[in-house]
Amino acid sequence: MNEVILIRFNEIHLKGGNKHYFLKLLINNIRHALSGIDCKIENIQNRVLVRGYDDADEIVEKLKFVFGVHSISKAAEVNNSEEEIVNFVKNITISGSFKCQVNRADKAFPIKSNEFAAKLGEIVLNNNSKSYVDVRQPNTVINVDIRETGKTYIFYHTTYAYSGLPLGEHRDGLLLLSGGIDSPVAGFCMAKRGLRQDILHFDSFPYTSTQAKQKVVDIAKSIKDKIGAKYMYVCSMTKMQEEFHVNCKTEFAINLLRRAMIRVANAVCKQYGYKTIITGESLGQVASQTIESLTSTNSVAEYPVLRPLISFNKDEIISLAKEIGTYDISILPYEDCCTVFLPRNPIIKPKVEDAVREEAKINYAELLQAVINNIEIINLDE
Amino acid sequence: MLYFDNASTTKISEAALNSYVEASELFYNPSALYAEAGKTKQLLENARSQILKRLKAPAKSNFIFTGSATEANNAVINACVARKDKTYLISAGEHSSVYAAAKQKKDEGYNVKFVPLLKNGGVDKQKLFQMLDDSVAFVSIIHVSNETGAINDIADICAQIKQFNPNILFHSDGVQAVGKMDVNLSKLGVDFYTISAHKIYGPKGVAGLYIKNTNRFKPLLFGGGQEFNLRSGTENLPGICGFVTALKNVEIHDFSKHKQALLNEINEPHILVSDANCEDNIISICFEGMRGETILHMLEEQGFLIGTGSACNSHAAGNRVLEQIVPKNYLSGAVRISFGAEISLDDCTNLGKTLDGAVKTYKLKTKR
Repeated sequence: MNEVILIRFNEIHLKGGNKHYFLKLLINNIRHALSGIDCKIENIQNRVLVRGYDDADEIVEKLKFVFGVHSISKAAEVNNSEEEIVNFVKNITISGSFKCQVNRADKAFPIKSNEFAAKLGEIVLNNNSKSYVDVRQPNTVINVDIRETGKTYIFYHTTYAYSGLPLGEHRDGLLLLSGGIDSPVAGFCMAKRGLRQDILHFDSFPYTSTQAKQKVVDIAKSIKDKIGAKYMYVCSMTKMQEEFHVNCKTEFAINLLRRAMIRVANAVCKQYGYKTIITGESLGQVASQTIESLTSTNSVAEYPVLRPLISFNKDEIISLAKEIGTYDISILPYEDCCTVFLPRNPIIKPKVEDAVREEAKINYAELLQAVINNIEIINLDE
Repeated sequence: MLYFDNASTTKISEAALNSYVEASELFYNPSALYAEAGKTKQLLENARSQILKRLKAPAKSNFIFTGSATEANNAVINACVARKDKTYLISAGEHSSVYAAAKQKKDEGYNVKFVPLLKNGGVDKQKLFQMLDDSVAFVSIIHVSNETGAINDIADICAQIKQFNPNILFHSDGVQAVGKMDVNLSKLGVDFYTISAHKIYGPKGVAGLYIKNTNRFKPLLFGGGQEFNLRSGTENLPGICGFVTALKNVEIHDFSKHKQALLNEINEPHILVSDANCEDNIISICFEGMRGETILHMLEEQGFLIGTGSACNSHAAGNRVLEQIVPKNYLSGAVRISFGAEISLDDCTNLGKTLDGAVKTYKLKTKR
């Protein structure tokens, strides 16, 4: 008997003619996720097997965040022999409700699925006094998967991953990442749909601390594998913010800043070939996330702006942030870009023409160009 | 870059560095039995007696070397906090290595009380004496505040406490006092006194604890029995030799003119925490509605390195000492400037001008 890890996927099966392309991507991404771990990866009909490892939990934890993976199970691998299967099933210890489910892909196996499931169920029942059979809603399903390869896989613990689509080959997305809770979650959500992203961050040094920037770098590093990122661009918005504050109406400070951010993102997309901008905005969460504010920022965008959290409640975002491991970093108490110059009463329903008028009060083009000329690029792999 | 953060650490002097390097060549373990090791043992004991002599310690008292002042302070708190029915008085202006260790004891169920502060960060003596009762067994008062430079009159405080009850053990953290004023342990009368090398142009990783009577001390670290069985661990001889050289060479400077030269240039409204009863080498000054760290970075850009007085934002655990004495709207805008041996009067004037200018710019650019 060998112990293996069985990886299953779902949405890829629906991809028709493109199935092969997605499968190849997925297997590459699995290999990448497990690089550095001593193990062997095998592709068998609609499944992927991992074998020859030391620490199964480490592998399961990594695979959980490979998009396109539906579920992962530690399984016993035996030969397609009644004796070997029965011998393994005899030693299973469980309690509570269960059922046995047999999938007989190897039609040469002599016992029919239902008949064999009943037989195995009886064995489990006899060996586990605290267990009982429930075929409708069992706590535990003991799966016996008899494959045409001559091998049978028996498993009864399954970890569900995030499904979705495998991360693409190219980094097409540019994620606007702050030190807050939302933006890393937004990046995660788009990565789940296969969008590989790099990161753009705005800082306001010296009005924000060096720890604030380090915090964002830490967040970026913690999600880089999940979203497939390699580079983080850091732009200083300090001069622009100072100019907005001195020359423009204070209630427009955030609106003008966000428009400037999108313009910088446009420039980064153009220069480095990104095709879309991702933000962590959620409708109505703050003044800059009303429909009017989004209209105003959107009006300067030259690329589609994806806002996967637009319909999320804060608690939903927080719970996802905890799952992906960014929450604890995000709540560290270092202020980021927006909070230093925060007006007391930010405008809730800004009009595009008003923002344009405010922008005309300063030497906008020159300031913007200065920001773009001074972008710092951080290689997240280093 | 001009360095104005000497309260945080100092640059090691050439002499101390030389001693450190020379002693590194003598690598033998002072506890070993061959003759060469005997030399290292002798160096160690010489170092100890020179420190005791320099600090004018009374006869029969002792001094143990530690890896940091934090370790020495933790050791004292641990050694002296023994019975839960006894009270331990700790000044609210202690360095975090005393404060946090005491707080830990309090969390464990010991009776620990904190003595309030005056506006300059010094301990309120009247309140301290009011807090004395028969249950008090241990008192710890910092000699010079690391935040504000406030000087606590340890000789007087200790004498009055001993008069109330001679059995009360008295500790003072003298890390910011040594090298800034004449420290005479016989006159201070304390039972324990902490000093550190890297605040007096010595190496990092070495500090020590004066112990008047070793019978009243219990070790924090157990092991090979070094340091009279009071602090096990192979002695850091290079560090210790550098420490002694630093202590022998440290000069006490009068920084009153430097402080004045700097303050003369500050026209922007502020609160000066460090008043006349503070050591002149530390200036704690707060500007309304600003962020200390922003001021720090603005000065850094212009070639001056200073410290902040407070964590720079409202969500962070703020500055525990300043929080008690500075109004809230000034707290986040606190900076700490601390002079060192190489600073000239002109440097101080220039820093004052630059600081004043930075505050003006800050206000202008962030106007509401």
